[in-house]
Amino acid sequence: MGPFNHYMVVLARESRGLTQDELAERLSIGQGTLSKYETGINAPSPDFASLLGASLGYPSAFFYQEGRPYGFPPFHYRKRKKLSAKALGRIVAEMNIRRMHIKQLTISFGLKTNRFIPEINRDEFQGKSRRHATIEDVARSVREFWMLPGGPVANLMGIIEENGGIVVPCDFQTDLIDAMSQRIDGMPVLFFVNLNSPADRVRHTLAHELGHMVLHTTDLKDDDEMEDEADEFAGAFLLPADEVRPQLRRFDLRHLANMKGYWKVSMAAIAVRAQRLGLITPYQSKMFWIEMGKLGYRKREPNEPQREVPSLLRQMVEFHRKKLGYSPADLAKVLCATSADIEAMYGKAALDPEPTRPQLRLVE
Amino acid sequence: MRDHDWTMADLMDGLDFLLDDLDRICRDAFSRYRRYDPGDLLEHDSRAAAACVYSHMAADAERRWPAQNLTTPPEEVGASVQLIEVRGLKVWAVRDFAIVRFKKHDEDGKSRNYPTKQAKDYDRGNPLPGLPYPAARLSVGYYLDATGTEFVRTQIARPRGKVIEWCAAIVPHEGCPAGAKRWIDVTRQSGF
Repeated sequence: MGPFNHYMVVLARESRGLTQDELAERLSIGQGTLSKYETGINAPSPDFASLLGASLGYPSAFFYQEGRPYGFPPFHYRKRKKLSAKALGRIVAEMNIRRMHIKQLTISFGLKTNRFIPEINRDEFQGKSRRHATIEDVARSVREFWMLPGGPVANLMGIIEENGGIVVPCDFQTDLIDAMSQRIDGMPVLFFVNLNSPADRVRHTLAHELGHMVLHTTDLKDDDEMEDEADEFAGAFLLPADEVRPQLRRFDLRHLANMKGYWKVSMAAIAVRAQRLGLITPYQSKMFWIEMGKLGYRKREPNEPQREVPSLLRQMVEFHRKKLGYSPADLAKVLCATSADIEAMYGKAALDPEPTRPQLRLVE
Repeated sequence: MRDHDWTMADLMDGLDFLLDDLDRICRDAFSRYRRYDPGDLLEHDSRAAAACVYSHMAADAERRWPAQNLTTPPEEVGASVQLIEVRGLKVWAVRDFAIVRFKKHDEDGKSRNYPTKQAKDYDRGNPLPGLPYPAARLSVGYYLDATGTEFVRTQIARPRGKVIEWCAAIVPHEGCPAGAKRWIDVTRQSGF
């Protein structure tokens, strides 16, 4: 076991949504003592690590793991402005913990792909023409790079996972945040997606995060500008201009609903795309949003497409359980987590006992 | 009894034995249409969509209640509903008291397309060759949500020329407690 890792105290505390003051009170110690442990000025005794683990619901080995949490800017997330800093801290902590789990799981699993999610700097991008590359050009290039045929992207999660990403289904316990993504050296690109959102929104969110990973890994800009570019990328990736333009000969709810059925993208996203492409007037756009609001479609639209389900993470857990013979206790130990956390993160199947082979019996 | 003497309750209660079939016909036709390839649906405007759904409704109704010789009393042929075709207008006579046709409806039970002469005569209650005259002329239809992609309800409306006298919604079999009334009056109330 390595030395006590003070970063893990912060992670564990924030993942449970506690402030330093609240945890100190729970442990009956001064906030100053806890603060010194968290900043690494003092190292606690192993007994205190056990107490801390029991209080926060982590095994004491959790605090002796290597690594450090990643905060901003490597994270990009679609969040609504109402989300509190505390709630965001809890979510970011949980994402870091899950990243560490994935790192552990990939040691034995061995991802078998030499495909990847490209990083494109628009200033250096050599496109087909001499003009400066637009977001449209970048989105088209990614589609070409991954050899995607024209038409709707049938299974975006599958495509991202085939090309070096891992989609991590999450329950953020709020609908104020949709997704986060992370690109760290030596790790697959991670997309943490709130699966509580409607299926069409999840697809757009994922494409939006993909946009961040393609455009903003090296080229960091103002936050609003990056969000706007990622949104434009998502629209261009899911709804290529040359195919959408002839289809948008009409702009009414009925036609948008049919387009939604075809492209598996929300009517709202199609309307935004139409506006970006200059296919509708500002008045048409305004009336569209008024109508959507009146019908209650701004929160949840009808005609939700089939929900996409990520598979890579499930395969990794199954590989450990079935191929490598990890018991639920082994899995909990290697991930430095409790069974309850594992069940919450990876589903009940991760803890189910191996199905035993039926006993042979004599048939008369 | 004369045509105009039938009340909504008389007619809807008289049709009670048929409401499940009418509801099923409308719902199945629409869900079958929605199962078309999304690329094909994209090319249909609302008129094409309504025509496709109507074709499925008419075909299903024809399978359930084929054309019979109207001179034979229904109890003898074992059919209470019979198809009658009047110069392309397909209607189904229900015993001797009602005639129904299938249409796409709006919330009030109105249909929007440009009517043919026989359709106008049908709605006005004018005599048409082959139709039992005193029977009430009704329109069975489906009402969709604002996007035209989700089925809201099956309705039966009583047209009187361009005006809809009343409109009743069929309560689906699954949502209806045993013994409860199978229809509700959804006629738009005029303002006070």
